[in-house]
Order: sequence, then C-alpha cells, then structure tokens
Amino acid sequence: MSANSFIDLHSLRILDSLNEGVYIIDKEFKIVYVNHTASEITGIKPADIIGKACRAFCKSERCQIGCPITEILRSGKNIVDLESSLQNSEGKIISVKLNASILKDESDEPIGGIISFRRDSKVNFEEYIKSSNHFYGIVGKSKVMRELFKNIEEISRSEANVLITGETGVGKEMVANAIKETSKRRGKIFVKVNCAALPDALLASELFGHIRGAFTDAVKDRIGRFEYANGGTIFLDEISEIPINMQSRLLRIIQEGTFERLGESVPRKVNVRVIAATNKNIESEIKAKRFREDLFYRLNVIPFHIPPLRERKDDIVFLVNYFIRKYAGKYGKTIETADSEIMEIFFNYDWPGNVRELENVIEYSLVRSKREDYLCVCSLPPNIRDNSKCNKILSLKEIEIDEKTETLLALLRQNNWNKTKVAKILGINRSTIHRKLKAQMKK
Amino acid sequence: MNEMLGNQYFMVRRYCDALAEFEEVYRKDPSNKPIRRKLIICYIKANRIDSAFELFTKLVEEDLEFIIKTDPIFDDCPCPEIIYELENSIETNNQDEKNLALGMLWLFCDIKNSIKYFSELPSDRIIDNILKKLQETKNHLKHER
Repeated sequence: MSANSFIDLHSLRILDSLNEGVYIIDKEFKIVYVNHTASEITGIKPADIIGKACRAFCKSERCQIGCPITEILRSGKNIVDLESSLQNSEGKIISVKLNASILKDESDEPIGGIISFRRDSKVNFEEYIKSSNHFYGIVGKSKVMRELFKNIEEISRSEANVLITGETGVGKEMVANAIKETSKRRGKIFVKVNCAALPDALLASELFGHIRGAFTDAVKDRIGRFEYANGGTIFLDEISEIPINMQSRLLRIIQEGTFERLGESVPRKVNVRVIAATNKNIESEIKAKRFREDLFYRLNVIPFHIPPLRERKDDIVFLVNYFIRKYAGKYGKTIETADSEIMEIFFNYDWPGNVRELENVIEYSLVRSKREDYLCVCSLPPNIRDNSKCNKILSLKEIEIDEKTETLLALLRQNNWNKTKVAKILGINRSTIHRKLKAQMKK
Repeated sequence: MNEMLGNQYFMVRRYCDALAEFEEVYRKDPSNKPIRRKLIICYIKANRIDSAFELFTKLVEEDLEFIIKTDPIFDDCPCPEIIYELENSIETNNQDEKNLALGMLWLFCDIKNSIKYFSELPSDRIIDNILKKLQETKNHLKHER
C-alpha cells in the first residue's frame, strides 16, 4: 500500500516540510511514508524502509514495552508528548517525544497510524554518560587526564601487573576498572579487595582461602579471592596495608601463580592479573621496612599516577556538571548547573579529598538546595562556603533551622550516611533523623 | 473487533490475543485472505490444528500461491521460528497432528518440505487432494524457473 492511498500528494508535501519527524504505517504495521525530517533524524532513507515493519524503522523500546499505536487502538485516546527513544542508522539511541494517532476509513475502521516525533532536549543521566566523552566512567578533559586515558589504552594488550598511586579520592578504583575493561580480560571475572578493610587475621584466609579446621571458625572449606579470580583480574586496593609477614605469600602468588589455602600443604595454581593501588608513598614505606621492595617491583611493572584534583582544576567544571546530573536524577531535582559564584569557590578550594570530596559536596548541596534551576552558594557545606553569602535573606528562625540541618548533614557525611551512628552522636532517635531528612528533601 | 490491533498482537507474537481479534474480523469478512493466512498460524499456536486445517484447505483450494508468496521478512512471518520449535520438540502426543501442523507451516516457507510432511500423513481424500495440488504447483514453479 502506498502513502498516496492514505493521503493526497499535496498533504505529503506539507508533511515533508515539517520540522518534526513523521511516519505513517498501514494496518499491517508496515511503513508507507517517512518524511524528510524523520529520515534526517534517523539517518534512514525512506527507500530503504518503505514496506518494512515499523519496528525495523524506529527500533524503539516502546516496541517491547507498549507500542503507542496499540495503546490508541485499545484506549481510543491519542498519544501526546510521550517520552520515548529511537535508534538511528548507526544504532545510536535518540531521545524523542512523540505523538501518535490512528488513521480511519469512512466506516471508522482503523487503516493505519501516523507518528510524529521531535528530539527530546531533556537528556537523562544514563544518556548523558553515553553521549559525553567519559573514559569508562572517568570524567576528565585536562591534559594530564587525557594522557592517562591514552596510557591506559596503550597498555590494553599487556597482561603485566599494574600499580596505581594517587591521593585518597582521586579515583584509583575507576582507573582500575578502565584498565580491566580495556584489557583482554574484560569479559572475565574482576575481584576487588580492600586490603585495609580486613583485619590482619582474616586477610590471609580472604585472599588465599582455607580448609576446614584451619582455624577455630573454619567450619568448612572456602576458596580465597585469588582462586575466585582465576582467569580474570584482581584489584588489591590499599595494598600498602597488607602486613609485612603476609607480603611474601603475595609475592609468591604474583611471581609464580602458586599458593596454598590456609591449613593445606597442596600448592594450587592460578592465572590472575593483579592491579594494585595505594594512596601512600610506597618508597617511604619501603624505607621504613613496612613494604617489601621485591613485591613493589613485581607490582610496579606498569605504574600509573593519578594527579590530585588541585593539579587538574580544568576538570572541575566537567565533574560538577557530571555530579549535578547524577544526583539531580537521584533526588528528583531539576537543577542542571551551578552558578558562577560556586564555580569560583570550587576553583579556589584545594580539594584535599579530591573527586570524592567534590562529589560529596555536590550531593550535599543538591539535597539542601531550595532552588530548582541551579545550585547556589547557600546550599554548600559550611567548610567550603567559607565567607560567601547567599543573596537570599533568611529569618532568624530559618537560620537556626538551617544551621541544625547543616550540622546533621555534615555529621551524616562524616559517618558515611550511617544514621544509627549519627543518632547516637546527637542523642536523638534514628527516626528523628529520617523525619528531618524527609522534611529537608521536600524543601 | 479490530484487525489492526490483531496485527499488532500477531507482530509481537501474542497469538492468543491476535486470534480473538482475527476470528471476529474473519466472521465479518470471510474473504479477507491476509487474516485467514495469519489465523492458520494462530490456530496452530493455540493447538487448534483442526480449525487451522479447515482454513488451510479452503485457502489452498482458493489461492495456494497466496500462502507460497509469503515473505518471511516483509510479511514478518513467524513460521520459521514456529517450525524450528516444533521440529525440535521431543514431546508429542500425536505425530500425525505434528506432521499436519508442519506441513501447513512449511507451505509458507518451502513447498518441498510441506509436501514431505503431508506425504507422511495417512492417505485420505482431503490430504490426497492437497498433495496433488502441491505437486502440481511445485512442478509449475519448476517449469517457470
């Protein structure tokens, strides 16, 4: 069936001149017409798609979760401004808002459908991530970061061990992820161990496993993280926290790939790539005899140093935008940017906690923000805000409430949002904290 | 009754929902060949092989080529996937019913395989008639090429 059987030539010309994408389907859901804009948005030529099933054209998630035309057929109501997505000829997802209606014959029988769509400028966080130039989730466009991304790509064919150094909060784990994702082992298992989080007594059992009866609580055999990571990659965060007496076992597994489970004498073999990270100056640790030099050389085959945020302030603006979008989505806010005053404060601050601190600051500010359009100075944590004043005039009561909330939020932040712990510190009930946070969110 | 809604259900392989819509359309317009073609498939999926065969026999009598000319891509025909499922299913209560369903479905894709399955069925007047018609069409198509 051709488009002319639905609509006259003159009307088709009008549809072709529209700024919205339009396509028409017949009652068999086959494309009979695609206008110029639809073809331009999708990059699909009408000649390649006419006569084919509509899902071959739009490849929308709506085809799976509920076709708009079907919805109209069921409900009898036209679809207006429905948020959806299409795929272009290269498979890239395009957010669109679409309208749909049914075409009927003289006897009121449905004979087809017409769908119009336009690009949706409101892009969600996932799409923002996909569309922006992040390197495996790492945000940064400064020269040092671009150099770092280049180096990660350069070593992608290597199986050698990696040592990542950098201050706390710079994103060592993100870099480890990127190294793993660009490596030949990207589809294989990736095990992460925070060596500082485990007590010395448990660490050996955690890394190498144990057999039943190896120690008092060993009621059954258990494999260790190295065995679990066999064939893949292990990330040993805060490697310098491993006690010196255990470092020789670690050296052996890294050097020879062999180890024994605790309480067992049979050696086992594994094939694991090691990525280690530390925020300490490992050379000083070696000098102080807290870290084995041979282990350092085994790990430091490919060294990566991530510069602190104060040395790459160019990235602050990208990071701020990134975190605003991330937390605006989480807290249901419409904030899209920060005002220039905030940016000035951020540029003049040294960020001892690096990217993690910046992220916490943005999350805190978004939770506290009373504005809907942008982040303003008054929502910043007191230690960052310093002497900056907000234009908003607050009453004495509002100031008092503000200060209390600030204290509460600062405590929560310091205590990893552990409400029970903060309730104990403040001597209040946990539910009171919930209530206060809820009230704050509503503002 | 909504033919277009039935088509959508058929497209997303919701055969039972499609069947309900198509049956109504067919009742109102028994000459609607595209609907009859889809109804045969829906009946097979609903395990109503007798109903499918009744429609199939009529359509073969009337316009066999209409079934043969089905394009798996342009007509979004689900027969290849249904055939694959049926041919690989171990469980069968009735081998004749399975052969009958496969004979009908193969006609949408390949006349030779359709003949193969119909030949395996016990001979009777209707089956013999269909086989005769299929053989004639096959020879005719060979001749055309």
